Amino acid sequence: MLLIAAISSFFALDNAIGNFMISRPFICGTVVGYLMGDIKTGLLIGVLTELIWIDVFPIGSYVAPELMVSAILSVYWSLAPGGPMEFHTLALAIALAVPLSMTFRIADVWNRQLNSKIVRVMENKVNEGSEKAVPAYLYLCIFLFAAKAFLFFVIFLPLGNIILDWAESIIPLFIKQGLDASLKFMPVLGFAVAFNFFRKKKYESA
Amino acid sequence: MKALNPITLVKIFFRSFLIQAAWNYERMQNAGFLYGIMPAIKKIYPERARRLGVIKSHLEFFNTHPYMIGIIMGMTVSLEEQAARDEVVFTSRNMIQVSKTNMAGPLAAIGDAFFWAVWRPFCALLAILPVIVFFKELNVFTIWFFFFGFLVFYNSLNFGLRFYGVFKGYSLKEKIIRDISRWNIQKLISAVRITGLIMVCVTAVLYFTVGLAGLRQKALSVLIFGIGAYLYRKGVSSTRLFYGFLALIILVCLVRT
Repeated sequence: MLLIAAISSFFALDNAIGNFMISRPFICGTVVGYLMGDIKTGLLIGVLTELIWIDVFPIGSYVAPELMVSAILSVYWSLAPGGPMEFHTLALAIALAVPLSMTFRIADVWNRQLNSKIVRVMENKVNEGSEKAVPAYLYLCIFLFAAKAFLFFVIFLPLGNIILDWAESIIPLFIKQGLDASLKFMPVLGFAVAFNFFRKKKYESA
Repeated sequence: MKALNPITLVKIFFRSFLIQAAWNYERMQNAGFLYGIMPAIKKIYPERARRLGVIKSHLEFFNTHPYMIGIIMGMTVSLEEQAARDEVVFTSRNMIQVSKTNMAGPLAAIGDAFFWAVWRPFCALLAILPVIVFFKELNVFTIWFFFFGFLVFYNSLNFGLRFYGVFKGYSLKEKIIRDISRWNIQKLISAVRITGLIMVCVTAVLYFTVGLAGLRQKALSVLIFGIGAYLYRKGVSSTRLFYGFLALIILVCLVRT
């Protein structure tokens, strides 16, 4: 679990360093799936998340789900119990992970407000004549960015398992059957979103 | 005066990846930008007192698209080099600030419209659509192929543009905007978008004919696609669509049993 949390905070750093898009859901999902011993389930969840939420920008000031988080949490929760993977667990895991990915975004907003303060301190130090303050405080920002993600995953990776276990025991059979069936149609929903997304002329008139 | 050597420019290129590292709501990429051009500033202004003033001036508000940053960094260090020779310090400092902000806006607009709105989703589609259609046939090798294929293909432009930007921005200064205006971004965006649209349609048809079995599944799929597309067009977010979709499927299963 700690390994997954560490790797996840590394993925989260993508938003601070380079924007290489290693924080895309299907990239994170595949890696977490691989580490948990079921790369295909990881890939499947990642790809479905990617397709259904293809319109979400990686940056923005409004609170949109951070899909990297959603993919990592749902892959982990689906695979952590072990044993044969059941489709309804997978659908349930995604459904539970999406709100948490919005929580992560809120934590991100706090993080960036904290950055404002750090950069102000940096400026004061520069005014006092210290040039080394620039890299030093920049690295501090990076460290805090990763630490925040690590803390988030250390809390919610195990917590989600407990919630899902409990949910499994109380959810009636017909809902499980529905969730089992839903997996087959998730790509269709994704096609609907992607179709509309690429159909729209967004910036071409500008 | 001696021009900056390529090693310094390469250093700026590598440092440009940290542009968002201290992203904050107050001044956004200011610290990342300063960090990026530091090696050049140290070379251009050997006297410490003067250098500190320059460093301070680069802590002002700054924001653009992260992949475009190379262009502005290259241009800025080139202008700094010019300013270091200038007698009228105040005017040249002002000019640098103005050039930075003048470039940042349009480049951010291009970057958002191209990279975030079409290039990222398009590259993702290239990888995920075959995965969905051929999911059962995938093996470990093909999975990693799509995985690294996406990363390499997508990032070729990320790396390329930063590298090109630092060097071209350095040699052309503000004139680089002429280079950029020749790229024909609008047409490129349209082309990528329409290719993406065709890919989605082809995959959807393939999934419909091969992935789904039986009339009932196909009918339900058409229903989901229709409702989904309609609601999405009405402005319903993906997240809400997803929960609505789960509720619909559960309901359908309940009615059947």
